[in-house]
Amino acid sequence: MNNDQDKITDRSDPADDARDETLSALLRLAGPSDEIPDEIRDRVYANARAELRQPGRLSQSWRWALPLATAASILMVVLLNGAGDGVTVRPVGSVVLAKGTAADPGQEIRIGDTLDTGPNEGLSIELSNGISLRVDEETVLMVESVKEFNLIAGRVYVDTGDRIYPTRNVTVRTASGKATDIGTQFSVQFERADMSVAVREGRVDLSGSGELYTANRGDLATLRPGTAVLVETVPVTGSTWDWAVSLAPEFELENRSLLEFLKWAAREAGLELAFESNVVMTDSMKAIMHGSIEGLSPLQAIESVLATTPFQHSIEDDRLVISKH
Amino acid sequence: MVIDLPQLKADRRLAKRIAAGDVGAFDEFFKEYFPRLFRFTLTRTNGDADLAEEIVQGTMCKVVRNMGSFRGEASLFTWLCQICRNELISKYRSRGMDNWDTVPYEDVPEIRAALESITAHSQEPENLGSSKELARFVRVTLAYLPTRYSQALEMKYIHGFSVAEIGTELGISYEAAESVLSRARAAFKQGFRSLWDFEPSFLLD
Repeated sequence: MNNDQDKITDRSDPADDARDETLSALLRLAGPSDEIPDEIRDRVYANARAELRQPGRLSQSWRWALPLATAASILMVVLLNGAGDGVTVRPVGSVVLAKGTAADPGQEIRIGDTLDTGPNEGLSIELSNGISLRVDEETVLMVESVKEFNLIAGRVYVDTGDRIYPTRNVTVRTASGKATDIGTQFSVQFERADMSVAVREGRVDLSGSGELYTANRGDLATLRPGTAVLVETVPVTGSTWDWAVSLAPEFELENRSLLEFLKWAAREAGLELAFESNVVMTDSMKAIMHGSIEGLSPLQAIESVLATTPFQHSIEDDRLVISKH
Repeated sequence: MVIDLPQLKADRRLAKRIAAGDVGAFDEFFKEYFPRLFRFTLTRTNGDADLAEEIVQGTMCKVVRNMGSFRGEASLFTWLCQICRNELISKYRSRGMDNWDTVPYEDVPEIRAALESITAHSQEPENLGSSKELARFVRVTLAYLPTRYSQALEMKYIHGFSVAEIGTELGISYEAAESVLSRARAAFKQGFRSLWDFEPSFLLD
């Protein structure tokens, strides 16, 4: 065999050649793989192929399982609804916004579903308890309950709202640990073995590899198996969160008060809302808005909406301050 | 656990198709995973091909029957290996050989010694020794790799094929063969580290 004409060209370091030689010696030591006799392959193929399910046919192991599964479903509905009024388990949420083809808007999400996004895709889910869950591109997320999610890979953003309810905590698990919020906005990213939790507002309890840590607003905490929690800072506004803001459910402005709009916009922008005085806040409550902010980012929407009112704003130290002309 | 997202997604798609009874998907699955699983098993049956066939057959049947329960939290091959280990444990227990596979390989003194030997003489291939255990160690690592990667490594380093010849054998271009080799080397190193939790100096990047 001609081995000289094409020494692998992407390496020129002599150390690489030495490693190549060592790798070669190691593989030679192991020797070539044993040929698998055709008759073994054919026998295994035939037997395994026979186990392949015929479309429309229940496999043997499921014949007895079906009555049990049906009974379990009925029991679950009774438990969920109080009076068994059907055999369908209620959805735990629905898709409110979808980029790409990962799902359709309005699609219902149920326990056991896997949310799977490809490049340039994203999903915004509204859960039945009011929590907003946003799934970034290249993510696989399993829905284990309305409050528990298993992030296999990728990134999710959770907004549990601006009020703390004991029933609205969310836990995101990964292979490296888990994050449970205490009324907050946060993102969890799982890449290779690192679990990174960025807290935009509120607090998040993290645990994994025997480590416990409470991350606060502006913390970026990373759990890596076998090491202590690494804590850095992350800006609560700006481009870090653009992907999540781009998946924010649309705010219907028509006939809503300015105060409602400002609360939404400030939260999506990662800003704390403040008023110059109580009078300004009361006036914002009375001002009713008309029109649409479709296609605008939260900051663009603030500019656009306030331009039509006697109110004005400034941003100071991550605070959106509202005053009147 | 290191996640290879594209692989994981491809595995989930393949598993879904098999669970739906897609024969083409089954053939694709069998072609890729049967040789790897057989070699993986053979290294654990001390080369007993009959026993390996029995174990692999049991594993493959169980896997195909239960493909719908594959959740995709780890790769399909990892799942296959887990089921295969259970089959092996069950088989060995039925023969009165408990705990045969519960000791991590790196804790076996012979393997530890062989690995330390590599570390100590990393640039002297002739010092790799002829440990049967070490050879088994490498074969297990190779068995974990996608078929195309292990084939490329064998062709290059054992049979001395040129890159062009590897390309011809695999039915791909010269550039693609270079890329496969490069990725195969990286996968071998990664696999070695992941499987044995050990990083001999010659494998360092």
